[in-house]
Amino acid sequence: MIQTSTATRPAPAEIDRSVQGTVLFCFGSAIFWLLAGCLLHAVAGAKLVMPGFLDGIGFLTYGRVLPAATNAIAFGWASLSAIGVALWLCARLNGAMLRASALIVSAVVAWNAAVLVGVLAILAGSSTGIPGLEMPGGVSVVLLVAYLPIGLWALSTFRTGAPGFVSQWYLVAALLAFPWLYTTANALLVWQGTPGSAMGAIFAWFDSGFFGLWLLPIALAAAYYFLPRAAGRPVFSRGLASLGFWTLVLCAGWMGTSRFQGGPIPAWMVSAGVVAAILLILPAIAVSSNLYLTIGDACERLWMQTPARFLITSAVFFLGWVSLLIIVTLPPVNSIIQFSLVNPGLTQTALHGIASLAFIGVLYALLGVRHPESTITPRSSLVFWLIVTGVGLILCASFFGGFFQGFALSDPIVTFANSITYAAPFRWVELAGHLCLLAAAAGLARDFAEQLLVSSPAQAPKPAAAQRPEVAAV
Amino acid sequence: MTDPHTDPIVETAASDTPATGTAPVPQWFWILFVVVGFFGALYLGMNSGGFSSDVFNPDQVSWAGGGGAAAGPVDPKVAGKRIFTKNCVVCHQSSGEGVAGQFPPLVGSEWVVGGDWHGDNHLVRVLLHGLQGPVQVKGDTFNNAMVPWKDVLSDEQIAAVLTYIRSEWGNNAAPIPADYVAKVRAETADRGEPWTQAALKAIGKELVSEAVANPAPEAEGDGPAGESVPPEPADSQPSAPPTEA
Amino acid sequence: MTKLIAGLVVAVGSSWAAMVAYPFAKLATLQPEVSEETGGLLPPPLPGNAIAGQRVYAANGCVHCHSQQVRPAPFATDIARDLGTRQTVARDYLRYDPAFLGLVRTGPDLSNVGVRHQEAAWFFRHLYEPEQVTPGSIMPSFRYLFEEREIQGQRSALAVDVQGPHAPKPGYEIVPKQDAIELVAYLMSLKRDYPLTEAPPPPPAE
Repeated sequence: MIQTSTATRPAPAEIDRSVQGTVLFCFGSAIFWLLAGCLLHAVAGAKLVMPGFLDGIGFLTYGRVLPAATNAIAFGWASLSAIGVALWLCARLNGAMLRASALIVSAVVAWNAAVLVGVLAILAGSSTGIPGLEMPGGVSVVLLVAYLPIGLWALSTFRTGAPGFVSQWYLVAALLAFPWLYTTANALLVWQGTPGSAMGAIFAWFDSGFFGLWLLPIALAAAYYFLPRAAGRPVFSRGLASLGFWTLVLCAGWMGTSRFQGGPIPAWMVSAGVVAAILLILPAIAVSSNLYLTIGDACERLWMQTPARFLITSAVFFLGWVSLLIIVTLPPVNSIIQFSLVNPGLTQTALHGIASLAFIGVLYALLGVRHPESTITPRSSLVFWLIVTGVGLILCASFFGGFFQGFALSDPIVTFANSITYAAPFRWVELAGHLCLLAAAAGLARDFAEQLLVSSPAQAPKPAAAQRPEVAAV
Repeated sequence: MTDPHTDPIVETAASDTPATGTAPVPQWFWILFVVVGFFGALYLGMNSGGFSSDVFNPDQVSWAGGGGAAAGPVDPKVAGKRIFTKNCVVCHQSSGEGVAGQFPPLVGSEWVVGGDWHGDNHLVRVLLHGLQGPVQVKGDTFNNAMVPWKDVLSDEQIAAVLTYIRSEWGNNAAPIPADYVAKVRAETADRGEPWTQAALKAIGKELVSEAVANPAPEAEGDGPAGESVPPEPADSQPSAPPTEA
Repeated sequence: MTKLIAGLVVAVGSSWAAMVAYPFAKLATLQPEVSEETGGLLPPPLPGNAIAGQRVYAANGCVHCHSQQVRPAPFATDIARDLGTRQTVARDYLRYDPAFLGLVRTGPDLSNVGVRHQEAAWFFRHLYEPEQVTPGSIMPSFRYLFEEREIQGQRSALAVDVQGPHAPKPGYEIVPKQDAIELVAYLMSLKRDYPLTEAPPPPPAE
């Protein structure tokens, strides 16, 4: 299945040809889920500001639309595009050809079918009620089975030897962490319940790990792979990269319980979660400074390239997200904003600001392989700015609104109804943010479809170097 | 490289994998590392609630202490009552009277306060390993099973709950110190099954007061065990080994 | 590769041990306490309808707006806001599977909603027309958990006293379906008004 010897390492073009159909299929279906998820999220957001909107209908009630949206985004969009990125990067970095694409494609088809069933089951009222794990137990079994060939193939590409490059560490971490996280969470919470507040700790471990050990490492693997290449420089420091990697994989699992300050989880677990969340500053600074020192003065040039612009912004969001997360985790602040808009807003920021931006950047790089236009196009620039604006609006709304709401919630004199009033205007802003993300998803879907369709006649892209304008290098 | 396929990302070197530089980790990063690590550890230490699974509010030092009360030795009878309420009342009832025909009483029971052949060593053994089969208590026969507690309760906790049942409901027997429980636990470490009345009767009677008077050769449960539950001389009943029939 | 994987197993495994295995061993095995006053079990066992109601609470995503945690006094103002008389601790949840701890308060905390409201009729009406019962509420209506049916003979004892725009036709009444009955039984079971050794009531103010 794989060519192992470095001597016979296939050319990147060959590797790309062997994986790109599979990876594009991952991305194509992922974009469908991004559209569906953003649409559902916008509906949920609208229901908060207009309670009468589509009210009184079982399958469209807020408590079903919202988890349907988050599951579509987490398992449809984010996980499928993460799988696409991982497949491509593993093939490229390890010089492996994907020969079993039929198997992988059928696994991705099964994955899509499972997510479809899961989302419909949530809308139909079969949710498990555990945030992030609402899809029924049968669906998670199918997802895990579908993951098996994908994960095994991706990991088997590492047979060539020691994974020497930073991106490879992150890929191995993510590929191993996902089945670990998802099997544990399902075994203890979905397939068979765990009574009592133990559920909270287990759920928190899964939830923080799902982002910090699955989506985030793949986003960072992409950043560490594409940005140095685009800048034409080596990664600044291996030591710094290594520190950033190990501190991340250590903190990401521990930080989850920080959300239960004052909650029915033993105090030491919550305190350990708080410390881990604060320690997250180490990987954030290590990664962002390492990438910054790598790119250096090439920043302006890279800004004009689609993949690099997405990936740079993703790294900036990583640093920003961690900084804000630390501020709101500090106990005096947390006691005010704990149950407000802030935490959901931060989750959205991480998901779209870090993961979505990075994955879309990789998608554009892959599309660029077929169409050697790596400079930013009006179309990709629009997608970029819509996502940044959407995330920005959601973040501002959740912080300003969240603090207003939080102060109202924690002032014993203010009635609960007033805390809703304080938050209301910000929920409109949040809705606007979700509509921006929906528009970005639509723009991305159009861009993706057009680029594929346009290229179809010119199939069998035997890219000729001579024809390729050296736009990227300037 | 002369790779005919040029992707939009500029190739850096012969391989398509970027090179990795060997620049040292910047000094300021190590400083940050140490500072954040230090304050993190400090915060965790101050808010750990003693790393206990039943402290939920880190401001509350320990649930037994009750809001920062002076951390003195815990009164074994107070701790014992709590342990008894949590673990024992389902069978023996909070009155200690048991359930007629099912669960033997503790009030005035020769098993608890001592009898012609019942010593303190038997009582501790019953608690550690459990008891099953027919037993005679205060003239009645009970045939039920008591579960072992050796893996659930520590020496201090067993000592506390025994001290409690020996001084409550009119019972008046000497407190059981934790190091005595530790001594019995060490002697019976091999025991894997509950006791029967016959097996216990075969063991000679021993009283705490004797065991304390001539300390066991192997000082098994010294150290913290001895400290936290002192033999309580303040209990106004100086240990008078009960030999009532 | 082996070193990398070993490192990952240690790093991720440490959090797995602390955040999954430890709570599974320590919190999921908690037993009820026996009340020193009444001799009953604390927390009390749930009625069958309330156990079934958890499924309805889960299905309709109530947890996305309602938390069920009361935080302690010096840290937060939950107790001053009368969300409960004491912090909620692990033992409070041992009857529930899953425990809907919740992460947001778009709606009020429900840890003690069964203490605040003791009449099933209030819950049914609130679910049917929330904005009529609590002005300014943005809670969705759960009309789909009720049915409108012709009054046969006497009006049903469970019939909702509807006052808003979704009143039934004359001669008809609004009665809760089984799901609504179970959901309300669950909500009414949410009472953390008993003492537990690990959660003493807070000392009186000042």
